[in-house]
Amino acid sequence: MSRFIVGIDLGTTNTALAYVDKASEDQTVQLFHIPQVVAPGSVESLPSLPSTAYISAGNELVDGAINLPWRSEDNVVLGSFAREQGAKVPTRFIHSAKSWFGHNSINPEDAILPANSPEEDAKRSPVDIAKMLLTHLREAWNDEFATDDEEHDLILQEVTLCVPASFDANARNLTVAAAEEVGFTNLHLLEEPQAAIYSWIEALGDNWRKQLKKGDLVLVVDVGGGTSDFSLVAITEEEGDLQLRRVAVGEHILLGGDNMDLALAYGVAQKLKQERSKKLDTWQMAALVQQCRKAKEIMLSDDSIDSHQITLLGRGSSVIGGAIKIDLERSTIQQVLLDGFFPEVEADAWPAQPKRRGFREQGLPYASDAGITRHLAKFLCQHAEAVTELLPELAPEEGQPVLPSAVLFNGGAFNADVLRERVMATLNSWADAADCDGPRALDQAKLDLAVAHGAAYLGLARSGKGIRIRGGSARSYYIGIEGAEPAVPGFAPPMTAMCVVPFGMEEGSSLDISGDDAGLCIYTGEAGEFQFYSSTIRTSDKAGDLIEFDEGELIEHNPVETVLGEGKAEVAEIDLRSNFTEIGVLQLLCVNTASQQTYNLEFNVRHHDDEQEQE
Amino acid sequence: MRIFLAIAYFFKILFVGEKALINYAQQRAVGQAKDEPSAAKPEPTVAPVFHVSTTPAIQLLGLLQKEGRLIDFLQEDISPYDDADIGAAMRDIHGSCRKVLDKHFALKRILTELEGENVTIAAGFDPSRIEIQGDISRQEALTGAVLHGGWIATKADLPTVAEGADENVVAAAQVEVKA
Repeated sequence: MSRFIVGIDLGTTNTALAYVDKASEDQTVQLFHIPQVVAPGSVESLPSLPSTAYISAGNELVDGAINLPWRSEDNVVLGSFAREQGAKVPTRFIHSAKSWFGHNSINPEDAILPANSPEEDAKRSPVDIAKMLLTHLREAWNDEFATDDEEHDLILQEVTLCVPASFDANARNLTVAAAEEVGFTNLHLLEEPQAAIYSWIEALGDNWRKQLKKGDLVLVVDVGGGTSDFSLVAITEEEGDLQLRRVAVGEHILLGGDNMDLALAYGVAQKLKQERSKKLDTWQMAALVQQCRKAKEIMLSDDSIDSHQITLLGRGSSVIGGAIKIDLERSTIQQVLLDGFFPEVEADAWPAQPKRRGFREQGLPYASDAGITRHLAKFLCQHAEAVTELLPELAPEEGQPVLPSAVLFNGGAFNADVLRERVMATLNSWADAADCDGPRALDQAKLDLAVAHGAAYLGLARSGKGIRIRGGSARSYYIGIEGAEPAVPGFAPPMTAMCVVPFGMEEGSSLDISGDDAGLCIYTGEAGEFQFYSSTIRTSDKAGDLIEFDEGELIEHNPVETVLGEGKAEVAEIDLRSNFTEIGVLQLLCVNTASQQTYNLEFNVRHHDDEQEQE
Repeated sequence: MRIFLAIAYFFKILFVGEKALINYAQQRAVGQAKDEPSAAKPEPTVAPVFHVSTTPAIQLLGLLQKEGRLIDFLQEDISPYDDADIGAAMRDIHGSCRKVLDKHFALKRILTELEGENVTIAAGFDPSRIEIQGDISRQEALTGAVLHGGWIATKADLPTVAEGADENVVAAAQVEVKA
């Protein structure tokens, strides 16, 4: 038994750690303040560690500039100072590494960041960055708690690591693999929106039972720095006790608070360019983003301010002479933030369909429609069926969204009242149109740090000291099977998909799937490959079900592959087995029906690149 | 290695104090005692030394410059600019310099009475804390109106600086290299 229960929020923009000391009297969740370099030669402990890295070129920082209290360091710095130094030297600066985990066309283990940087020695892989951040947490923790007792080493504690609910199996597996390489031995994964709910429960204690009742549906809207994540949690009752069940999660939407500040800054920069033909350099642009963030906070918290003056001080030593002044109007904030990111839309307004682009695209696949409320409308519509299976009284009309009875906000963006109000107003207008009661907002005190807190609380819940949300696998998974019909030239052979992991499959369970019906077979001695798909929408397929292939419902992932034995090539009939481990990762196995030997099916992340190169 | 340690210890004593050093030496001893090879375990290293600046006055100028551009502002000839321009820049400079003050210092009023209110000063007051203006001939307690409540620092906490830094630098010169 470890002494500490730890929750880690390995966020796209910020990393945080909370813990419970089981040896303490009250066993409450505490936030760990993370020591980090904040200026050359100066270390401070802050509530979170910006998930950023700066790779030194070796000559631009003085000796000892990025030393840590526990070891000397002269190459890589993480956190606050990395962010500051990175703004000056962007080609050696890595941020938002986590966004690349869910990216199908790159291998997150390849050293590709900073993207488009010519400086090869600064390149690291997204997985490396995750490992570096976790290692920093471990060293910082050990410096505080484990200097005189090895048993308190962070990697030996019971750790819950949060991932976006929208992460697919591959991204989850990569996260766990990174943590295991750092040495973590007692790991669990938790979806971030669920962590937000645990944090809410932790803050209320037993009183949460007074705020929710049987039949309630809680929508979690989690807008982090780089991603937006939705989840629906149904409140049911079993033997007189309230139960929480996560019934739906949204798609991976790369759109977050950082995009909002950037959008505002670009709006202002555009205005400067048009009205005064002033072009800002990168340093001034960075200053403008900061100023816009500040102006946004001021104006969003006070309706009476119509415009806020932004002053960018001169770039050289002439502070006033070179200063640029511009007014940020309320109309700009209204237009960019509210109408841009949170438009008041009808319940059937779905995001604009993204154009299909080539896989070679260098950047991240940012959401092409910034309207978070439109993504929300789609999400609530797509999951109406899954919800009404459990809560039939909430069934909406055909094609309409299912409406939550309560909303829990999470993420720093929602510190602005106006944005929470806008989401509530939009949901209420949908409720009005459907002629039913609108939802109420649940109070979340710590919008920035709730995820780490909630993860630590779950550790307590696991040992029986609190309620747990039931959920299981957030997606159903499928392998593609080519039909046996003769191929028609010019057309891809018809495909069916076989469900290998049903939605809601519980952690720690295992399923055997007979390959007989589908006639699954593979050549021994050479790499065999299956197309791999998932769905967050198809919630009622059972393992082994064969379904018609529908592009709208299934998301294609990198294929899975295996090599069956070493012998000469002959056809072997196979069965499949899927394990959803206690940690929360998915394992797929092939079983050779003749020999009963099993082989791992691995994610082949290089597939798309190879394909492209052959063309 | 020994010489290196000796030097490291010397600086530790100089900058961190003896008590911290003893803890540090104990930690090291513990670290070495249980130093079996293990894949997951980082190699034991000598914890680096963090320096307190030997020129704290210049360091403070540097902080005010870095956060608030205060030195640039004071050094600039502001006569050609109108008040609106100076005012706009000043808002930014004021806010940023205030942050430096709040972060590294704690300031308290010496007299908490409002300015203009009467206050009685006991005989034998500390003239460095309270400055009496006007009639100061009497030796008993004095009563007078507060002109200025005064400020006293209850905390001054400057950050440590890097080993290799030139401590006379207020602001580094900046050069942008185009790609």
